[in-house]
Amino acid sequence: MIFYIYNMFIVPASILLPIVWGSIKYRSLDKSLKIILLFNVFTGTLNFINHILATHRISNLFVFHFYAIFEFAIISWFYNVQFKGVVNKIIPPLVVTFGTLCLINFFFIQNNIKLELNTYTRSLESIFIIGYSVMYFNQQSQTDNEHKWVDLSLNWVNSAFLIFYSCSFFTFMATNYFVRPDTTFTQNVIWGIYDTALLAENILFAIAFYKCRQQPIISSY
Amino acid sequence: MQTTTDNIFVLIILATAATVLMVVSFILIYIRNQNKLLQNRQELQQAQLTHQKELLQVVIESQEVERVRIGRDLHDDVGAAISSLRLIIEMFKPVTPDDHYHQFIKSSKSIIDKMMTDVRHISHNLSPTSLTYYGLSFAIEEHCSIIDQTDKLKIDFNNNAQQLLEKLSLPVATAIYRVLEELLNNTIKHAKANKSRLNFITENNSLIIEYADDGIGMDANQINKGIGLHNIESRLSVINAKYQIETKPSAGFFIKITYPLT
Repeated sequence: MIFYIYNMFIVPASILLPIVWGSIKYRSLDKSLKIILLFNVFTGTLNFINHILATHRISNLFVFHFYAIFEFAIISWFYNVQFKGVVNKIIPPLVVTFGTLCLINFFFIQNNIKLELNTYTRSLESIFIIGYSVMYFNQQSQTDNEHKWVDLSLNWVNSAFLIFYSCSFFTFMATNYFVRPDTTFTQNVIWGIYDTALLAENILFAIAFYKCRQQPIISSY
Repeated sequence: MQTTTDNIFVLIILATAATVLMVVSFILIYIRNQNKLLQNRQELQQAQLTHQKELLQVVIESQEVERVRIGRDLHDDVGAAISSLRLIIEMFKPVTPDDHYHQFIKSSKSIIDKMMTDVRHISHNLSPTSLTYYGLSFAIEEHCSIIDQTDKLKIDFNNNAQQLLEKLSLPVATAIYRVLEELLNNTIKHAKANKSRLNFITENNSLIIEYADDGIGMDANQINKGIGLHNIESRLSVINAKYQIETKPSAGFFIKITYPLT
């Protein structure tokens, strides 16, 4: 029962944390954080639709095939704003290629939309996002920041992506084993871990919005 | 082929646990290293700042010593020579009661008197002896009264920190005196002001100096740090004082200087 409440209500509702904080501080948000707010609104809306479909016992697996395309596009947009140089030029073609792979996968490879999730593309997406995140850490390590690590909003966002996608990687890979009706204790544990990673991601996004503030203008000379 | 009895779910849980451990450890170690780097950088910046301050202090101190030397030389040597010249001219008695000679003596004495006054003023400006002997409060009052006499500016001086001013060390008093001198000069030269106000207050273990004039003011964003303002900033930074300027066109000029006593 506790797991059911956690899985069905607490974790899905946690998306409201970053959305509410982001909306309150909307005027202070820079372009990167506005993209993250868009990402949160997008995932929140899709999760809500999935929830409704699941409640009415309608298969929602096909939604995830298309969800991955937009999710990856928004996250890539966020990192495209952060990076400069060659990486900046690679990201747009990467998004197009990934979108094409998702469509090929949906129509020709994992095309049983009532039983199969897009585990191949979702795992590939995770690898790309982990790569983005590590590159961002590398970029940050070469920058002379005047502020503490914890005071910079984008560090929290980047950590949220790294924690969620690396912790959920194995779950994404093997999701098709879990979507069968015969649920076991170990399956519930795996979903519990996945939900906790998602909860952590949402909390970290909320912290990122909380940390975003306009610099005070000092009028002393 | 031999089949395995491994439970895939258990393997995934183990793999996920290992990943969580690695990622969280990576982030925590990264944060710790970044904070250490930041701390080292801040310490280095602080050390550079302290070094610059010390250099500035040495420059200002040597400047003051040089000012004192020039001022004393002017007063003692040039002043004495001019006094001797005046005495000689006074001793000069024309044989004939020619009005021409009397006129010459009178105008010579008048020029010499003006020279003596100028030398005294220059010497005083270079090294205000009253600051050394009678303290900051007296030196400022004296400076204000000299400006008042010129009719260029009326200064309203309120000293509510007399006891504190007496306790200030000579380098600090000199720095404050020079800053106020610079501010008054700026007001006379640029502000087209009629009146100015100078207040000394003690507040929260700090000496607060407020200076304001009713001049033409300026756009606060357009304050360019000319030599005058740079001098003010340098002198205040050496004594660890902070300052804040408020000004806008046609609304005068105001500066608040806070000198912490601890």
